[in-house]
Amino acid sequence: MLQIIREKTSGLIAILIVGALIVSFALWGVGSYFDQGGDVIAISVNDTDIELREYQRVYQSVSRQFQEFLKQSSGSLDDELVKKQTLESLIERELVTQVGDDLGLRVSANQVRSVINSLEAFQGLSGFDNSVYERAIAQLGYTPAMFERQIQQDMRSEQLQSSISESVIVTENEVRMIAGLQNQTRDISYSIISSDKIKEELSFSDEEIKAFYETNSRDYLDPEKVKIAFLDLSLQKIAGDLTVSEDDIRAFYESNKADYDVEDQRKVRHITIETSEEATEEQINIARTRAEELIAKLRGGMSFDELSEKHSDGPGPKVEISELGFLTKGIMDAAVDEVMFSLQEGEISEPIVAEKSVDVVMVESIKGGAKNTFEDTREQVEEAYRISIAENQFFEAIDQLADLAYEHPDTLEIAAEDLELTLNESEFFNRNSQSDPLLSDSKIIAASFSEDVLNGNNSEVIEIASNRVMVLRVLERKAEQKIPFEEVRERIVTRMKYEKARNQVQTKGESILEKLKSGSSVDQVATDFSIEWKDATAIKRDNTGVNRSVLRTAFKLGRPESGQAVFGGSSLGSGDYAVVMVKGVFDPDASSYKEEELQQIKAQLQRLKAASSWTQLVKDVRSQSDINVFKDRL
Amino acid sequence: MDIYQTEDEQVEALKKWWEENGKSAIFGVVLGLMAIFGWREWKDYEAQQAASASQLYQEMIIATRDQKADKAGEKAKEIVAEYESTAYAVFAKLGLAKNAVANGELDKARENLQWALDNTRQDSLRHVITLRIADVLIAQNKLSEANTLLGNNTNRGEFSASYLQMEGDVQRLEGNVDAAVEAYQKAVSIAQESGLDTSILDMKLDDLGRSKEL
Repeated sequence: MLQIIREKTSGLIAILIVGALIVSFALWGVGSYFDQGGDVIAISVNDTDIELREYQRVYQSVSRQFQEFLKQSSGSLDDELVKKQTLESLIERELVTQVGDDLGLRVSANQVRSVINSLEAFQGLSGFDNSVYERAIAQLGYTPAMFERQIQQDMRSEQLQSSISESVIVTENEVRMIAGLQNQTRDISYSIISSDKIKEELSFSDEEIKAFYETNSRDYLDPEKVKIAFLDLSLQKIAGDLTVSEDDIRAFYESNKADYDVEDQRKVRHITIETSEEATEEQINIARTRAEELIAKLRGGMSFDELSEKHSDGPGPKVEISELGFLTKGIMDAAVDEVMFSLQEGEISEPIVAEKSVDVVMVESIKGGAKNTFEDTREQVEEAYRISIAENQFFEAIDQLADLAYEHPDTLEIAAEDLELTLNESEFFNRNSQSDPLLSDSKIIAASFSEDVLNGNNSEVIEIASNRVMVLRVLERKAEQKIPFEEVRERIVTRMKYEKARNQVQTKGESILEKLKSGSSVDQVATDFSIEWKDATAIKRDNTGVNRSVLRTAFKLGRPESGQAVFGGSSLGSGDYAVVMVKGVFDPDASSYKEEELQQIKAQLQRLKAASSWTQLVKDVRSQSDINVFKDRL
Repeated sequence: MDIYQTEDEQVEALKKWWEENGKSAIFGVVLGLMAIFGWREWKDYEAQQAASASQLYQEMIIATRDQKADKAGEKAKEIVAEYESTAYAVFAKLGLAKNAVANGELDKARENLQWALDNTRQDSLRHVITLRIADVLIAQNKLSEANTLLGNNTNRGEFSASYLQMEGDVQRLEGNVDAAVEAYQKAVSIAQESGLDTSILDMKLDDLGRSKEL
């Protein structure tokens, strides 16, 4: 390109091109010109690419969330779902970031810093701890620069989101309208046409039942099941089985002493004589003199308790005498801190001029520092020692296990023998099994029903928890099969009766409704169809005395017009059919609403409106964007 | 590319080019540099404005969440006064509109929303604001104005469900049950497709006795 420029440059064109080049380098930097390529792109959203690495990071965290959720609801992890969720959240995040760019939203490094400093996860013993922070984010695969950029993006997105959600307008009218609907009462009559008698009277021939069984055979299947053999290898078990000598543990302690040291902590008695930030020299001197008096008393043998009883009141500046617990460095005023950590046990300080006071401290006791002994921490040391020895064995054993299971794909016995592991055997279980926590583990299920394993091979090494792995193979397999007719005959008959009876009463109910709508009187219908009407007056939407389906129907029926009741019906879960008649609708007196109720409705409407605005906004932005997902790379 | 026989020839050619174009090249560089520094300075200024507004906005949101409407209002006014050209001013106006509605000052709410609408160029956000203006108009019982506002927005993007729901509200309040039902029903079906909550719409339809499945 530069060649062409040189050949063509002359006069004004030269000015413009050179100028434009300089501007473009200045704005986007030379860097972006050269470091293209290299990284694999997973998704592109408009002009921004999302790298595969970022996709994988989000995939991990989505998958963790799903697993957490599944633990509570039981079920197996669906990889497609995780992928889809990962894509959706990455795309949404990027779209929102771009809207933030367009709007010129900006979050300064200071704002980012103050959020990071306040996060619970990054707190050490005394406030924010940089090493805790760096360790925590490294586990998530972030460098501080990346993490801070991410927080910055998230904060900007949050600003956009809150600009909508925190400013939702809910007018008094809307709230009152919903309150009106919630408090509305209705007078209804209804009749439930029972299907019980019909069910009792129905009978079916064997042929009919058999035919039903054949046509609905998909509902009467026993799912595929397997029985597996497995080897279970865990770091904890290896560590527990080791024989260790006292000398080894002690040696381990000596070389890792630093890990068992506790931070230097001091328990102090503390005297504060109040001054202020703007105190004059003179005021400080008065406080200092007072402090000296108190120190003299203490050195003369008076105890702190006595001192606080007798001398905290009195003329002059306010004196506060307190007993503090164990403190680490960095909690007290810097000047006090310095003195506090230089005193010996039992020593009393000279007056210390701090920012807003003159202080005196006495160190009551010192803990931590170099004082932690082997005996204090023996148990922890032994555990850590065992783990450290076992770790190597564990990882070697995993390698061996993987090799042996792979070299002898048709048996696990050799691996069991060589590694001295017990070969366990499971019960039969299917894909949705919940009989045993191990057998309902999504990874175990996925491996047990994978093609390779079903074909008789050993599975790969499966990591079922951190530091715990398994290899499994299928011992026996039962294919999906029909449940024998005789075993489900009863169930089928019950279902046939239910369906047929439900249809019959529904037909009856619908003809009743037709009669009513064409003007037959309620009593006439009752006689003709031998049904009974029940009345329910002044019921609300949340009434508990009336059958739920009846209630729902009653509130869907609209309002009677010019004294004419309105009618409707619905099938109930039991197979019965309800005929419902609404005779009156009464709107509540607006002054009867309770303030608390109105507040609740308002909050609810705010939430709904905020969610709906946001969802539509993201969709709207998305519909105007150019999004490419490179599926084959995921 | 020209092939130069010797180094001398090359130097000669360069000199010649320089004589012909040198001055304009220097001028170009100077112009470019001026553009950069002007542009950079402007960008720095903009960024710094945005960062200050952002800090205030953060404080405004915290006050809002703490239910301190007065404090939130003060912050919002400060943002509008000091950083009028930033998007934060638009956000602040949205917050002020909400406060005005809470105080029953509907005209003021409308002014704030109108300002926000006129000063944002983000199309999706414009829909959100337009719908809020319609909310206020309905609360003022200016139904035909609301109807016109909604009707004039024919390019609704992904906000159709909300527009239809509001049109349904206007029709219902004007007593046109059939038109209201039609709008609500369309809104429900779009909302369902988009995965939006339909509980309020369902309740309104139920009350008009026209839910689809009975």
